[in-house]
Formats: sequence, structure tokens, C-alpha cells
Amino acid sequence: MADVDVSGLSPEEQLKSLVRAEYDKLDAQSDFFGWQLRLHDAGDYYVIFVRVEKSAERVFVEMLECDDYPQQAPRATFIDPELFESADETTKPDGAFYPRGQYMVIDRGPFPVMCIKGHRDYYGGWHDGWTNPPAHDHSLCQHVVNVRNALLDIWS
Amino acid sequence: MSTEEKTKPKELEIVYGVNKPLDVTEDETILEVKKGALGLYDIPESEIDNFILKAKIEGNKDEQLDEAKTVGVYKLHNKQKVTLAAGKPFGGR
Repeated sequence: MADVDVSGLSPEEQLKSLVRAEYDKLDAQSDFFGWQLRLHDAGDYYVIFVRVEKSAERVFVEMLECDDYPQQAPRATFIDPELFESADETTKPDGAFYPRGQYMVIDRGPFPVMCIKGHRDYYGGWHDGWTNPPAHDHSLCQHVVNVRNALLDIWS
Repeated sequence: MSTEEKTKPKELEIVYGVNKPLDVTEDETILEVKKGALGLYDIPESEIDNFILKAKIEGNKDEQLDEAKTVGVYKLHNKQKVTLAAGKPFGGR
């Protein structure tokens, strides 16, 4: 994780600034990776929306709730891509818009769960690897790159 | 192609969170480029099998680069972005 000067900030602002630093790295790579991003300020925390277009007919929007980052990995869900511009922290996941395929696990809850590093449901007794601060390969930024690659290469 | 042209240095932009420049030559293999890329980010070479390199070779689609091929074979251009990607981002069940 990049060093960020958080001195003088409240605890909530410090955590948000770490998320903001990851978001800024993602934003800087938007043209290269071809994703669209939105950063929503939910008050105490940020929510990041990542829109990835696999084809004209298949668009994904991953919602990353960074309510306890980097103590915990962000909570990752998928929402109706039509809601990309208006979604906020109250937007509900929608099973119809989850990717399908290898490494999408369907028996761990009401929605499929990505068996991919960097989001909350990947850890919590399922896999090890989350640390505070997270190692680069578990970081928010790298998670988004990995999900984008999986959406384009192996998921449908 | 002359030897001089083959070894002409160029700079690739390695993408791994942030971008860092890496000097390469036409006759370097992708495996050698990957080793250089790991060094840029202080990733131990023992981790080499956990990473792959990807770049846009034709059109706008990423392609995993064959480590036995060279920079010249892929016609990677100066300042081209090359992604250092996790080869195994998935967990075992």
C-alpha cells in the first residue's frame, strides 16, 4: 500500500484517505484497463463502483464497500449495471448481474462469492492472507485488476 | 535486422498498482522482462511463478505474453504499458 500522510486527520478520515489513495491508483489506470469508476462518499466510509464492459450485452458493476478498510477487506457485491450512476451504500446486490463460471462459488450464501483475493468474503475462515496493511496482491487496487481480468478472460 | 537494432534499448511501463519504467532491449525474453519487473516492485524472484505479464498486442484485448518469446517478437513499443498480473489470484476451495 502506498504511504499516505494521515497525520492530523480523524480516525475515519485516515481510513478514508487510505481508500482514496487506492481509488486514485485505479482512476489513473482507467484508460488502460478500460473500466469506469465512481467513488461514493457514504459519510464514514467510501463505496467504490467499478463498471467493466465484457460486451455490449454483458456489463458488470462491482460494488466495493470499504467500511472497515484496511482493518477488513472491502465487501464486494455485484449490482444492476443500470444503477451505476445512481448507486450508493444502500444499493442492494442483484444475483442476476453476478458473473458466472469457474471460481464463482454458489454455496456460501444468498449470492455467489468470488474465490478471488482482496474482498471480505474471501477471508473470514475461508482463506488466509488479509493483513493490515494488506500486501499488494491482496490490496484493493490489485483486487479490482484481478476481477477485471477474470471478467474479461474467464467469467461470463 | 542488424545487431544494433536488435538490442536497441527501449522503456516499458510496468503496471502494478502504479507504473514504473523498465529499460529493456529487443532481444530480451519476456521471462527476463518479468524478472526486471519483479525487481522494480521489490518482489522476491522466488515469487516469479505467481506472476504473468500481459499487454495489448493486437487491438484492445490483453494477451498473456509467452515468456520464451522476446520483446522484439511482440513488437513492444517504447513506453508501452505491460501489466504485471497475478498468475494465481484465485484461492483453492
